[in-house]
Amino acid sequence: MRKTKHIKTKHVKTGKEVILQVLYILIGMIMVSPILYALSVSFMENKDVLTNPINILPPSITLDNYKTALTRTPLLRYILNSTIVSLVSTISRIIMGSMAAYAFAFYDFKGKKILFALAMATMMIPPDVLIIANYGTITKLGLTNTFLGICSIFLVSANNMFLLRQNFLSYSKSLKDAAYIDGCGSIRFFTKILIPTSTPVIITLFISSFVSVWNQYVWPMLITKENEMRTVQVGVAMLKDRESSVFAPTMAAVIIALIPTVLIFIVFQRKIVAGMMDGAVKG
Amino acid sequence: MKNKIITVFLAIFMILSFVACGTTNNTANNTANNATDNTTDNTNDINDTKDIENSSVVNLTFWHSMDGSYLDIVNEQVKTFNETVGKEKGIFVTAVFNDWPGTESLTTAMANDDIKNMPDVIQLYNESVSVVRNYDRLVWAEDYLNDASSEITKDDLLANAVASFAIDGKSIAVPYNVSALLLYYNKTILEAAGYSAPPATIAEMADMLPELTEYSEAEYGLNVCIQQFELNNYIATQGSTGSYFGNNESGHNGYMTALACADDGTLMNFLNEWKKVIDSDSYKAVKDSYNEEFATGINAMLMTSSSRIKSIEELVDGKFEWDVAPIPKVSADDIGGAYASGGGLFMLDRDDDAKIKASWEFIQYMVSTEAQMKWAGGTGYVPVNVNIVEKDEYKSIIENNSKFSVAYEVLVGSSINEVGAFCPASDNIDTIVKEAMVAFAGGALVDNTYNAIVDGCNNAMDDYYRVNPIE
Amino acid sequence: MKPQIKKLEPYLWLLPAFIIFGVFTFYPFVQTIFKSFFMVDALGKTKQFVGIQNYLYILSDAGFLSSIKVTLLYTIITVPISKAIALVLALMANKKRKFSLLYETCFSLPMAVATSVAAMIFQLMYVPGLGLINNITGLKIQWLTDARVALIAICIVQIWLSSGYAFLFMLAAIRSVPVEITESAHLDGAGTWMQVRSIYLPLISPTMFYLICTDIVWSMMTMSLVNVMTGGQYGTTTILQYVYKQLTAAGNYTNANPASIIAFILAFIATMLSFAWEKRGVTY
Repeated sequence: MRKTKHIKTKHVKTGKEVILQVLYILIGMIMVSPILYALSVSFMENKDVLTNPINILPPSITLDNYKTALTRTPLLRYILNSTIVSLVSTISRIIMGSMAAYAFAFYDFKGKKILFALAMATMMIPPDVLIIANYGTITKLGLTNTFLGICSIFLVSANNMFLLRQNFLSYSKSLKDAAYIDGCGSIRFFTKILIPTSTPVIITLFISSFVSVWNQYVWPMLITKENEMRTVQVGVAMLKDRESSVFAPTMAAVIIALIPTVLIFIVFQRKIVAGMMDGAVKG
Repeated sequence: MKNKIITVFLAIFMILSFVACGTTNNTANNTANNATDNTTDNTNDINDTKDIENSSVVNLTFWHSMDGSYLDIVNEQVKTFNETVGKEKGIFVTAVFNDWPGTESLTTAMANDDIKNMPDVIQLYNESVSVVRNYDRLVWAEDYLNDASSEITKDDLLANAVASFAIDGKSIAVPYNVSALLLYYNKTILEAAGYSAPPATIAEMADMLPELTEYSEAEYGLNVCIQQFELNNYIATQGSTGSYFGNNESGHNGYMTALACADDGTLMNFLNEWKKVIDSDSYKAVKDSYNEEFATGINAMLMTSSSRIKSIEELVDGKFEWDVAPIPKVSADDIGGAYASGGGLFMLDRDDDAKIKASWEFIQYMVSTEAQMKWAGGTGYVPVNVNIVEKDEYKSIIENNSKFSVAYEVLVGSSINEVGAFCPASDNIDTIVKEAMVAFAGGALVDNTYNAIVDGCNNAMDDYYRVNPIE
Repeated sequence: MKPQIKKLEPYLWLLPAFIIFGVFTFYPFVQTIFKSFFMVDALGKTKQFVGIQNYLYILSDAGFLSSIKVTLLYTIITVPISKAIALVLALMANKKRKFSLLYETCFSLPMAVATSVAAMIFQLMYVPGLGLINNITGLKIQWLTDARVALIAICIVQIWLSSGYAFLFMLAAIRSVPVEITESAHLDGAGTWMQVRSIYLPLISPTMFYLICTDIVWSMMTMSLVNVMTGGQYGTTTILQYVYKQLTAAGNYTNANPASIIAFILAFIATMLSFAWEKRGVTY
């Protein structure tokens, strides 16, 4: 008697589970539908994009758009540039951010509150507004049209620093004191103990910073004067015809620009969730 | 371990930033270009010729804002220059794209007097002339055009194109990619409604529109969003010799500080006539994908720049017969036509006389019949060089497709008083006109529209001169 | 370690970050504040001192005032809705199932998309007449050119992007709620809604707070989406879009500088308000 009842509820449960999963996958597909549509359009011939009735799938698949996207502009070179800029900026953000977070989390010093408030204030100053002034500074430093020039304003992020500080606060202070007694100086503590154990958070920040810098458009456009130095978002804008009637090649470029971030995202998705749990939840 | 990785990364980026500092990087560019189609692989080829350069070559930077398929043509023109005249005279030009209108990077460089990051030659449109007209590093084209030893003189160029880039009679720049506003019409639909010719006046057109939608599957008889460009055309083409949008000859003889079309009645004339179009209930006042909508027969007629002829040709793909014509006039005794709109080539002085000389050589090539031929065949841009009509290649292009010559004829027939306006804060003015005209189409009264445009534009100009007083 | 060095040590750790902050954030910001009290010409050269005249001028500019209204509207629409969607999605995805990875990735994927890229894709979808949305639904709405819907159209894109980002954080937060608490609540007969209200919401409130707070600031500073999709026309100009247009299209630094400062002040107020709410609404 009992046994069959048990099996029955299990059946109902798995049935419900299956339906739920199907439902969720459907919702997931709706969420990513814009990206899927862009993918579809990128394989369409331009005259098939805006037709009546609409083509959701390409009536004839063509690789012309990708060819155009890759030949009209040095898109691959742009991807290389974007990768370099994003990598350098992200590494810098993590290093400088964790150094500052270290100071805020493990030390007490005069002006700590003020300095922290100042750092937080930078999150509220819109960078787009400072662009012109920063352009002037970069010019005076002679760094226009260089990788360093592009990276310059991205080298540190208060957001990252904040998250890292939250994470570091969860470590017990006595840990550091114990390490000190054991003869471990603060630098060694930082590099040998603190950083290695914060890997989940750091990976999370790595991904989100990389994506964020990768997606920048205005600053790289302004600071680079030569085609070879441009980044991928600028390249995508170049393909867009001002009058917006050539969507197919633009979508091809959009997909090319999306691939790296989406791939990184999918690959590291598990790690990100784990990282978030350690860092963000702790208040 | 992590430290080692970081140090390696830092080292790489520092090396890269020094290497990439400044000019082009040949090897990276070549490896990055995996194009299979060699004829369109311009950037690759440009760098191949660079390998041959010797130290006495003058390197020029050319900024433009041509995107899409026009980008290909610009690259071809530059490449041909580098391989012919450039090779001969020791000049090498690098073309750099800047998002339209192409002035952002320029103004920041100007503000910091950052010569290193300025171009030698820059393509700018009518709308951006206010930005550079007083700039002391700008080298006016006037003297060069008048110089007897120059290959290109004013006589070689379309009169009203030259006028479009002249201030107080002196050429500030040389017209480069010029087009005219035209009426595109679906011949098949017009004939179905019983019309064998396009409308000559706006009133005629307004009468036509409802019949076009009645006798076909078209949703609208006409599609055009009246913005500053279109409005300027409609003001400029009125009267027997043309008329000015703004005062002081639309900024060509002094500074434009107010709307002349408000005082001389041309604006009101236009609005009154245009009301008929709106009342026809067969008019689409906004720009969506206007090329596609015309090409699929949703709109029977379209008003846009002649530069779109090729793209529309490809979209229509022979589905129906269509043609282009001059825009219908406001009143039957107007001169009509259109003004030469588009971009011109401006030269900048970067404290290097050799570069200025080389820039002039480059500009002369870009407005030569050879370079302009590429506009003629590949787009609807009107070749600015009048000598082109004698060339066989041009003749056969026209024979194959008579549409291309319509814009040319329109500009040749227009008076030199029909010019684009050098509006300050042109972007604001464009928005003001656009929003007023869309509201007009949505039912606003003529007087309210008139006031919206006049007050809005005057305010925008006052705001501009408040912080940039005329000295 | 020498006592002097020991005292300096924390400052040394802070130094690199603060140099960058100083050069690229504080210095230009102070410059902007300073210049906002002067007349500045189109080339950025400072002319004469005018005190608060610039501020008064733009505060009487209908365009600027409407941009403030638009920005507030934008923030009020996008922030709560995207958090609500993210919350629902996170609650749905909470339990790990066979296809979890698939739909979790889908839910959070908008986060990997650049704003300019999202703008271009949606621009294509919004094309009236022949575009995807109107074609499928049969609507005839002029998404990006009708002043009544243009702002909503942009908000939809923003909500799409923000939901992806928020979902990820919320999923992590929800998953870290101890399973014993929810199980015992379930055994006590608490329904799903009851559980959400009294268990999940309070326990994830720190994360929710971080998300709402940062999103409010980002929304108030929004510019790139508007710039690419409508150029600020048809009633979609936000404060930063106004500033950007003044800088690039009108070459008017004199108006742009005070406008940026006002934007900062507004964002600051909004942040202070949310911190005030923190005391009441957030449980640690």
